[in-house]
Amino acid sequence: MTGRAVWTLIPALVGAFIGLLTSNSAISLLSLAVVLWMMTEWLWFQLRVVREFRSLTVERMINQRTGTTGVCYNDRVLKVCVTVHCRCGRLRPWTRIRDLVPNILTVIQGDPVQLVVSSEKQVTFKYQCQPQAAGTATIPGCRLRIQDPNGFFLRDRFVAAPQTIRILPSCESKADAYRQIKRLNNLPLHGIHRLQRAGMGSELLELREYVPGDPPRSIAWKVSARRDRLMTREYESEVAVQTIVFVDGSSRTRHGHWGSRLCDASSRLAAGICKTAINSGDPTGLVVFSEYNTKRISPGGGERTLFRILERLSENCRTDDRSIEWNVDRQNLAMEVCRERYPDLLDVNVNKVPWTVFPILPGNRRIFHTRSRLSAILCQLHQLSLADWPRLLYDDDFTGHHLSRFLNAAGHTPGTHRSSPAEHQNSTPLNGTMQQLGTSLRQVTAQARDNEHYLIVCDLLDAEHLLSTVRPIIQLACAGHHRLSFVFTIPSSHAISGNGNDPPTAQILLHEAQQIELLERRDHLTRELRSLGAAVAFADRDQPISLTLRNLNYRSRGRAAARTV
Amino acid sequence: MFFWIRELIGWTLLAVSLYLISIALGFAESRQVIQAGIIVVASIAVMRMSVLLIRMNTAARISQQSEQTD
Amino acid sequence: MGPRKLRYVIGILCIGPVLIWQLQNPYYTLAVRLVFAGLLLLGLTRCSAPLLLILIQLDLYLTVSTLYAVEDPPEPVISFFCVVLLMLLSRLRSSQELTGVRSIAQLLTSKVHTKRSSSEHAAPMGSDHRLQVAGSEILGVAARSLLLVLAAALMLAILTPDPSSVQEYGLTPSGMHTLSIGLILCAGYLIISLPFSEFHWRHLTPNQAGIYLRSRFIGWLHHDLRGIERRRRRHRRKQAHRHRRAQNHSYSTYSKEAD
Repeated sequence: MTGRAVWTLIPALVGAFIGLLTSNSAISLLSLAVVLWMMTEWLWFQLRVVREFRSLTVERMINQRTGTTGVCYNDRVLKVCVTVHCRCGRLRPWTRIRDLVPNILTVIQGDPVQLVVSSEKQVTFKYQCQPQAAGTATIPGCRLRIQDPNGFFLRDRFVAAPQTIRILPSCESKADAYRQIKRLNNLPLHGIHRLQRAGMGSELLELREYVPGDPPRSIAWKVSARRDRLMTREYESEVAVQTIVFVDGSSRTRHGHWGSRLCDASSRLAAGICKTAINSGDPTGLVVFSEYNTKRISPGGGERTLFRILERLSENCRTDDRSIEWNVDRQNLAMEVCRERYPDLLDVNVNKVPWTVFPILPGNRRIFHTRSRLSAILCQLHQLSLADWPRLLYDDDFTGHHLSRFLNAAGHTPGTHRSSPAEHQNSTPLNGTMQQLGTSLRQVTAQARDNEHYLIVCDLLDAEHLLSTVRPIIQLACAGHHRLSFVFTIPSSHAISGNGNDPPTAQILLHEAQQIELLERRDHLTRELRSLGAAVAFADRDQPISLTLRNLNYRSRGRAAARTV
Repeated sequence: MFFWIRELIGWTLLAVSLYLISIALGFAESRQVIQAGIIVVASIAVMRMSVLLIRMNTAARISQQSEQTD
Repeated sequence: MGPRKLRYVIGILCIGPVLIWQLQNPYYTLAVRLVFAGLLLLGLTRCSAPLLLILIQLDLYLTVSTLYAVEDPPEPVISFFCVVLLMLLSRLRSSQELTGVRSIAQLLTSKVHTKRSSSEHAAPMGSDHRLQVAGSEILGVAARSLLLVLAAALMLAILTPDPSSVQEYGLTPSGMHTLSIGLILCAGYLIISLPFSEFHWRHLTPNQAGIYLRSRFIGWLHHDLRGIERRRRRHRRKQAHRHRRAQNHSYSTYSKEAD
């Protein structure tokens, strides 16, 4: 029953009784008619709930597919078509249907909310959305709200129609491959990189005297005429270079909103680099290192390896279940999710709050009631025992852990339920991440068969003081004639916003000061790494991968480096 | 089986509470207000207990059925 | 005819009879009648149905009791028009909340458009058709309110208290009337609501059933479980404190040894 119904029923009942008591027939007739009107509306509404509301089914097609799982790239548009079908009766007017689009998807066309205004057997509506970042998007189902035409009674229901889409990072395929010069080669593969041994490449290695059996087209006629003896041109070999991309997968990279997190930028960059390398015929592998562990994909070529790499990068972008601190805002956020997803579990007849004297103050009492109802839902959904229920009610750490789990499962933006970047920075150990990077780099270097290319995509600007952990390993890799490149993804929080015409506010000034400090740290880090023999490049979030690769190539080898024509 | 026994007990208690209410109405008709009040309080308590028993029993049966199907 | 004009036409059609009746009331001065008319108009455009109902009830309380004797039959025409007015107003408010539509005519237009788009005839709707739809909607509301008013009148007429029972229970006739109608309404509500609530309860989802059981048990054991949890937390805090003290002690011993 809505507030409008209560405020209509009270004057009607009061009027009816006053009219009857004072024998005022006009008032009593009118008021009684209004009471009967409300009763008939209520009866009709209950019948609708019993007959129609329970028989509603939802079918969703994403890009013409109805399967429960799917895969798509980050830059693709998802065309969603939702059909709500009423098996028994018809969908009556004023039924509101809302497809619960997760935060990772942005609606770009159409509306996921549909209001039924005329009786229909089934309702179909379409909208288009686009993923904001790589990861996993689950559209759990539709929330249906049924109400009578007068707005007196309403009831919510969630109809499950889960569809999970694994969103792979988009690969920029326009990036050019750059040729490198190898000293050693044990790979039997043909590639684009130069090895200064005789082979079938296009670059001239040397001229030598003609030996019977040499193909006539390899004879250098002009040189032979000058020297008065037959000379043969000998070309370099073209071989492949094994490329291994290291990606920072620590939890601090997952802070922020979808699409503007560090891990989103890293994934996009790593995906582009891997695709470019695989297209050039280079065996490509991936190492995702975090503060807790390291996950590897051994080098390989072809579409299958690329898909495995993209899947791992997508997995890296998924939110983790690390505990968060409990507070009222997060509790309210979780309650909002519950209202969307589990309206039936919030029914006051089902989810009862234990009676207590304390807290007495209304505000605190409301918080306690909300927490109690939320605890009951968490207990049921996470299959906790009865003894865990008071822990959820009184132990903030325990509640924080389950709240985080619940919000992540609901596909909520991680940035909204983390309090501040500072809290997150402090909560994640950088030292562990650097140690994992060092360990994985050492393992890869130890297993290397010939000159390999290691490309490390991470953000070391905050870990400058920890560079000593990996310094000996970088030196070792460079001494083994492996090529080591660092690509630093610049977090969006460091990007300068606003134009120069705006009056300088305290926030802008602070931001500019941070920028200056950041530039200094960048320069220092670049100098340090270059002195060790590694190449360094910085990639903005929206910068094309080709530009990043070109910067990397120019800075490491100079403009005259071996770029193919 | 136990579920059905409990359900039966619940409905029996509900019938008892209705019978108590009819007794209370009889007292009220003969203007014995205090007796009627006492019986009404008792009947309300019995009715609440019976409704609680029926509801708990139904909820437990649904939970167990879902566990068995899982 | 635009939707704005149509709204006014519907408004005048609904409110007209009430206004005419009020304006013919000889017991009020013209100023009072104008104020009442203004209030009713305001109710139609700005107020919600409950407020309008209260205003009409107040007006009836002040005027009708002076006009008619207690034994006179009720005035069903006024009630009929008032119920129609209340129904239309509450529907309009509800539609405004849901769709952002500002008038009944606009609402009907959107309805017809939806029907047409579903049957793939996207021709623009003429004002005649709009009026036709508006007319059918108003007719439905009028028929329903007529039935309601008749039912209420029947109830008032049939349930008139018997003089012998009035004497037996020692109540006034009006009190007896109120009691009998109140009991009938309560009984009707209980008889209708019991099967529905029982049906809903039999169709609980497993999650709902689980939560109900848990919350019931917790309701009974809450104080004990809260006590256990508090003791556990206190114990954990003490342990942490002891651990910290032990650490500090070992550090101070180490520093003394170093000295």
